[in-house]
Amino acid sequence: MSAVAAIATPLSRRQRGRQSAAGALPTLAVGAGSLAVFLVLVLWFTSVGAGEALSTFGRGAFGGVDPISETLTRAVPLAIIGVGAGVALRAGVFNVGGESQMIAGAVAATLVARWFGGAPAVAVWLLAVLAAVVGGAAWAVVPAVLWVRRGVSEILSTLLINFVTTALLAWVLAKTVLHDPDPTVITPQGRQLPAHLDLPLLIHGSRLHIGFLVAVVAVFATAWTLRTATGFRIDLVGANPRLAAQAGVRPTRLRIEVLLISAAFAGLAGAVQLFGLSHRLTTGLTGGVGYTGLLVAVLGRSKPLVTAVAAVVFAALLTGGEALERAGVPRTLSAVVQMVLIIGVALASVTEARR
Amino acid sequence: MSQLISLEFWESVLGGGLRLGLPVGVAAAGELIGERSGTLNLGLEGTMSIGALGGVVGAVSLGAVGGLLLGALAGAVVGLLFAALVLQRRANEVVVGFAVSLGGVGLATFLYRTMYARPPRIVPFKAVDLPGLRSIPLIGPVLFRQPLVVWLLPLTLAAVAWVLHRTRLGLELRAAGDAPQAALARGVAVNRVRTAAVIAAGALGGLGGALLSAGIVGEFSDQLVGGRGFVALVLVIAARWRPSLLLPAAWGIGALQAFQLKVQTSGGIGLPVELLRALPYLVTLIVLAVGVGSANAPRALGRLTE
Repeated sequence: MSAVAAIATPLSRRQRGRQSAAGALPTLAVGAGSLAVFLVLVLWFTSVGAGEALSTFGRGAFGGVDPISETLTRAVPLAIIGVGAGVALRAGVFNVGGESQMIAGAVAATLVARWFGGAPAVAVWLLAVLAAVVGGAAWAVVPAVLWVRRGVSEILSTLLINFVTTALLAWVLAKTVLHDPDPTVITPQGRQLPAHLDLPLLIHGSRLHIGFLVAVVAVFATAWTLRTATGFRIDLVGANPRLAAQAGVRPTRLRIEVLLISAAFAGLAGAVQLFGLSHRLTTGLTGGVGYTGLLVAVLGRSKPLVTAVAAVVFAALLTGGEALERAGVPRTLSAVVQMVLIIGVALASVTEARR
Repeated sequence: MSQLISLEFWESVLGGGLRLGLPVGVAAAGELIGERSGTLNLGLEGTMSIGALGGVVGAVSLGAVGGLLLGALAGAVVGLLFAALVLQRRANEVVVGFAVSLGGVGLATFLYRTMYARPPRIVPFKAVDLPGLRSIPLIGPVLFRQPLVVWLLPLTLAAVAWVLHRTRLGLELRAAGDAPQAALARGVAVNRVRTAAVIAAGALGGLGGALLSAGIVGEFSDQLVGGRGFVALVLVIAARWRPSLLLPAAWGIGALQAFQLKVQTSGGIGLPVELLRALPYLVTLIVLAVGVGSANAPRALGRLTE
């Protein structure tokens, strides 16, 4: 049972009996609901027909090698952050700080590239990934300490640190050694990394880089770990901390561990985006992936393999939405559909917890 | 550096602070009501965006005041949706909140772009000069050369404080946030009180958005709300969930933003302005950590469904 479902138990027993169990196929219901919202918005507010909208969307997301590789490219950071956030969710921890931990990871990786840029690429990548993972986790230490010592909710502290970090990044890019001195650049950005550090492409002519394989490994490694005793302990803490404590698991300690682990995943995503896509530190490197990654974990119901699928779905909504925009439908329709998907899953998991 | 000692500079910063602090302050006042009832609504960014769109739609046909009303109404509908999902159906509040933030911004932008081929003409509130008072140095231009609508913030906060601390509803609301089980045992309809609080919070969130679009800026754009919903969330924490502290917090952050804008447009003053942007969040984090943190936060907050 996912943590979201576990937390979402009713406050009073009174309300429990009132609702009947949902349909046998909640996934189908959520999908149909999202499709309905999509079509209603398109038909009511644009001049594009239903068939045209769906086929444009489908072709934009999956119609051929190019769209598919672009969709998978977008799914990479979502999947990496999503599986990490899912591990934390299982123990009842909401790591909202993916955005800042991703930045910390990217900055750490940039520093490694700057200091050891002359070394062989593989060595730099490995060292940078290590630095990014540590950097990401380090960014969750303050929320962890505040939570244990002062009882400050990790939801609020990680959210606040996102804003502090975004401002810090702007300063780093504008005023420190990482600043790109090119005078034609208006928005501050980092220097271009040496070309030999760009991650190799999986498909020539696309943007799909070997960071995709990193995401695949992260997904399967997490899925495997969750099947071990560690995974069981995490689920136990999420489902019933008191019972876990009686069974000899220390809930607080474990929750801090999963917070740091999810932050490390976000740091990793930062390094992958840096070497795979942006090739330089920018303010747009994260682009909200830290937040949507958490939502992907919710959509994936904290299960690594389902989360990977959810990441592809979210990415497809982005690429398909961009194709729709060219046909005259504003791309932010995608965000509305994402909202409906998330709310649908949140409702379905409550119903499941009741059964 | 010389501009820092000119009176005009500070008049413009503080005056701008009153205007910039208004939308976030009003939205934060709403969030405060919801949180004091024990409901954490992270969807404020989406609520403000929907309210901002409502403000534009209303202002086009009914004028700026009509825009504010329609914005508040739209926000209340979002609040109702949140209440239905989180309080009635028991969906997770953090998840629904983030989803509403994501989807609300998306929906507002989608609707705006499909409804208007070109930006509609809106006349925002104009500054009203109060003769006599306006010529007092510093205070005059800051306080008395403003659109009257900036005074809506202290009025709203006074009303919220009065309801919270002087009425039976306010007592029940605070009980629902601090000790839901005990309140339930004493016969308080916790869920109904929370639902009312969340809808009122939505209305103020939407009003905040409409104040931004129809009241002050006079237009809607993709980046109009641009994180102000999250700033409002931060203000509630910084004010330690008290309406009285929300006024200086909102005006303070408004003045800070005005300061940055002013410094950036005048080509910098040798200060790391970027770091200044981190300041309010850093201060809030410290308030949260040091300020007897959890003693001020409603005890049931963020753990609604445990």
